[in-house]
Amino acid sequence: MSIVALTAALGELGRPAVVVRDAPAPDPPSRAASRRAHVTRLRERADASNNASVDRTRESDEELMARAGQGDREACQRLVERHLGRIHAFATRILGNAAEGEDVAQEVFLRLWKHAARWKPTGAKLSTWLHRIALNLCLNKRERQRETPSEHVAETAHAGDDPDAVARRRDMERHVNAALGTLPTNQRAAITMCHYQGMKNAEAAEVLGVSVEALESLLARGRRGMRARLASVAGELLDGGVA
Amino acid sequence: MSDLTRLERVLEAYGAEPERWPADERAGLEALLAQSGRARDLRDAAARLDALLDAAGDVPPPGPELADRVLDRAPPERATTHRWRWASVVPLAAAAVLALYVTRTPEPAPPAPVEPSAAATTDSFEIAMTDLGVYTTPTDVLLSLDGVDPLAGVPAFDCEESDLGCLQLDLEGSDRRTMQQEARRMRT
Repeated sequence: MSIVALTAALGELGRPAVVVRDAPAPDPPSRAASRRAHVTRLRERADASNNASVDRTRESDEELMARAGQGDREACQRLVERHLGRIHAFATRILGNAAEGEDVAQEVFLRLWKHAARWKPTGAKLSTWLHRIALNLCLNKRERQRETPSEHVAETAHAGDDPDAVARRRDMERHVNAALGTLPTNQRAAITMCHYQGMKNAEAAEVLGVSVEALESLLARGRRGMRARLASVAGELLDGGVA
Repeated sequence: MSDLTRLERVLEAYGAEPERWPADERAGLEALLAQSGRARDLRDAAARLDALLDAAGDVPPPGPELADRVLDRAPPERATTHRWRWASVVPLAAAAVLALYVTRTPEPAPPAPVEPSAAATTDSFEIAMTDLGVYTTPTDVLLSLDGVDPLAGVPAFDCEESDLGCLQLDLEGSDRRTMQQEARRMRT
């Protein structure tokens, strides 16, 4: 893929495109603002999952769990609305397969229901606990299957999109997801939580059961791994800015 | 560790967006970015990798079927909860009603005092004594025999256990002789 095509593909994602070699060092203000807005949205989504004050119901996870344990259907519904999508996305990124991600997300919630009546909010937040269960289930699945992860491939095409642009974007998605799928699981989990889900470092470290320093090490190794894996398709772009 | 080294490590781990950086370091590192061209170069390199990672796209949200399947397995409403609540309330309520009944029921009025007449008192005493009955001990029977005086002193006639004292019978003369003859006969 040429630099021009890759840049175009990235630009069409609706997110900031990579900075091409000849671009000035500082980000163009619009792209920087766009990227910042994207990260802010991710962080807000993560906060909404964790923080009841953002939730329209203003009911904490602990309160919902107490009601869910009594079989309150509405409380269960709210917990599903609040957490199912993120757990599904997390598992799908780890496994590289949307259907398997659904299986894991469903199993996570079955365990949640099983423990709802006895749930005591001691220590970890509910979202941390859910991610940890999901990660363990993903590891078990990978352990059993030992297969190369397939592509979850985000279906981001929209009616009216230029077919060539869609093809280029999907090509890029395939490359990146394939590279992500070959990372060690703990590095992939770290990148998924911190980069794709906007989770704060302390919570991600807790999910992985490591210190924040160890998490930073996992993230750095994971990102270096991604850079190395994508060098063949985007090497010039990746090395463009820094000597 | 210099600030630039720390910035490099933060960029390697979290990428170029300060929103992803540790909150307590963000302000200092952003100030460094504003001052240092080298810092900005490092940031831009991290930004290019960020953009490439973003090219993975979002994971499509699961369909509503998944939420339906999950909710189908949600804990059932605890119907027994209400039953247990009643089961605990009913005995308590019953106990409360009983206690109320016992404490609020008026005691029977004491019988009006009756002035005892002499005849009535006598009759009542006799009736009471009749009800009690008469208890008679064997000793009473012995002591009631005519002619036996337990207070009569010793020594007595033909008494061989004088230390213990012997009853002295207050008998008529013929009876006394009869008793003496009988005693001799028993000794022989």
